Amino acid sequence: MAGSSGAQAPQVVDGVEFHPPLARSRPEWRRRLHMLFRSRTALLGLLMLVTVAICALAASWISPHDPNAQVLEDRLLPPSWQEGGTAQHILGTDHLGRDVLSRLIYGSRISLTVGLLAVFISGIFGIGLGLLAGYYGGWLDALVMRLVDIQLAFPLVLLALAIVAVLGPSLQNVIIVLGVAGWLVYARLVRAQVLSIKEKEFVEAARCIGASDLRIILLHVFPNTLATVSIVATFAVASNIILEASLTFLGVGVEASIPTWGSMLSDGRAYIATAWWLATFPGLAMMLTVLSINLIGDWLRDAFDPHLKNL
Amino acid sequence: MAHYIIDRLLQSIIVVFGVLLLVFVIINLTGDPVALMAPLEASAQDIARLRVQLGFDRPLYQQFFSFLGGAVRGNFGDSLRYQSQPALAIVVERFPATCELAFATLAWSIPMSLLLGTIAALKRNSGTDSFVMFVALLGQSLPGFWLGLMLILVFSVQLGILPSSGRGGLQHVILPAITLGGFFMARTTRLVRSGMIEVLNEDYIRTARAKGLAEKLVLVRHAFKNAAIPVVTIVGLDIGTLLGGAVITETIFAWPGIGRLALDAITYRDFPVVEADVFFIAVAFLLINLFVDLLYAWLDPRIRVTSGRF
Repeated sequence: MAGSSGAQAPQVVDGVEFHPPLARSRPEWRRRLHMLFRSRTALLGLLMLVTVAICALAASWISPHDPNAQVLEDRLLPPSWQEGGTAQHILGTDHLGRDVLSRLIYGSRISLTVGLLAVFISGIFGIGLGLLAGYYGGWLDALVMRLVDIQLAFPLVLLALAIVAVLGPSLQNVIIVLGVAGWLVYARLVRAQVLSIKEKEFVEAARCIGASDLRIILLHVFPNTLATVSIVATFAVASNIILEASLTFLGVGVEASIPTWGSMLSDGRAYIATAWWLATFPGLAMMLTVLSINLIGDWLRDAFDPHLKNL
Repeated sequence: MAHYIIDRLLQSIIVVFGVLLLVFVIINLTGDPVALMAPLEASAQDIARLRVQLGFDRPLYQQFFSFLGGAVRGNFGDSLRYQSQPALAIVVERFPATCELAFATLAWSIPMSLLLGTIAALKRNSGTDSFVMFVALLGQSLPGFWLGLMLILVFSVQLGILPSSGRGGLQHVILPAITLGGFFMARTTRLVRSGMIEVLNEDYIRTARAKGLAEKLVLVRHAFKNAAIPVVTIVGLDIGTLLGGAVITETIFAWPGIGRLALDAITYRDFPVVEADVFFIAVAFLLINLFVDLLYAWLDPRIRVTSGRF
């Protein structure tokens, strides 16, 4: 175990041997990787998510048509396997003659971008407030916990709706709103963890040799919350994808000129009786993406923090 | 116990104050709510007149205190859209519809998740367990509004057996309740399963079995009540999501509840109604959670004194 294996070695901070929870030792890592490969569902999730990520990254190369090209004589073509469908538009076309498959591929970009960026923003807010509230306690803790209570009483969809309605619908605003509104899960969990971590000997030891609060929080406490935070963040990416699509569906999300799964569903709703494929495929794509992220989240939880079952 | 309830009520008042402040800040985010409220074709003079008329020419803190003063008395002003109707009255009028939907949702999803979760826990690591857990995960991954659209597609468009919109008899509530409850049921099933697995390993369950109690009695009398504790808390917190999620479900099914009212009010920039709606939801949420906390204390006497949910 000792020192020779580079990044895996225990870090020494302020003279205290410190084992990062995500990389405790090589066998531990191997055990978890083994869990990943043994768990067929987690592997399936990983495979699906990689596929979606490739679609998002390579959208301009792999999509068969321009997602915004309107060919009015090809309006509402059914998928190719149905009568009237063509091989050119495998999943059919929408009410403006745009290719559904191409729009689906481009839509994955928005979903993943919003999901990841919003999680990043809320992670920074939530972890920061959780660390401060848990570490210092007192009035700061009371304040943060009341803020959590306030936001719990204000349904997230409604909060996001109200803010976007005032600021105006745009991709940027949706990311900001979901980012700011999503902080409370992180804050609650991190705070709870800090409460127990700060009583541990290594924190006491660091304090004894004169480490500053900032140093203790960032180097000793924060790394020990990372395992839990990464599990929560994974699930949050999934719920952000659904929230973004919901907002766009309600008309207060991403601007209409950008192809997204939410706007495709909202367009498809009007044609539900005549063109079933318009509302079906974007939802299916979203469900599979969210499912793949949830499968990975489940695996992360089982591998790193089995006690976190209430998520 | 009385002390505990008073303490929780005081906390709730602070939270309601915070929610009202938050709504006020959001509406003033752009700096000029009058420009948002005025119709698009309004001239600069019209806007100026409206500003004085609605009191938006006063300093912000004065506006907030008069807003707060009104809110305490349940007066959020008149709706801008339905002239001369008080905003809160419009919300209250719509509330029974939302209640009906919420009850219908809980009425099928909670028994269902108790049943599925218990079966999965009892047959742990079997094919049945994996199947239930996979369906639950699938349910958690379903975007609610898409599920709603698909239900309409199958049951209203293709089979033509259930109505796709409006409120009326029992058949009207079926599709919206399934839509709203899908996620809820999936999540609760997972909770029940993990709660039951934990409880079934406890000594008192072994004792109950050892003394020859019928398995049904072991489950109902000893396991359920203890497994219910974590479930009750999360369900209470999920009520907020249920009311918020109703915005989408009510919109898809044209269900005349407070969720759809909120969306309409936001779209039409009817801010008094938005304020009243959010206030109402927040108060409802807090009262439900107070009730849940009391239920929690009843389920687990250990928590009766040392309160604190977090």
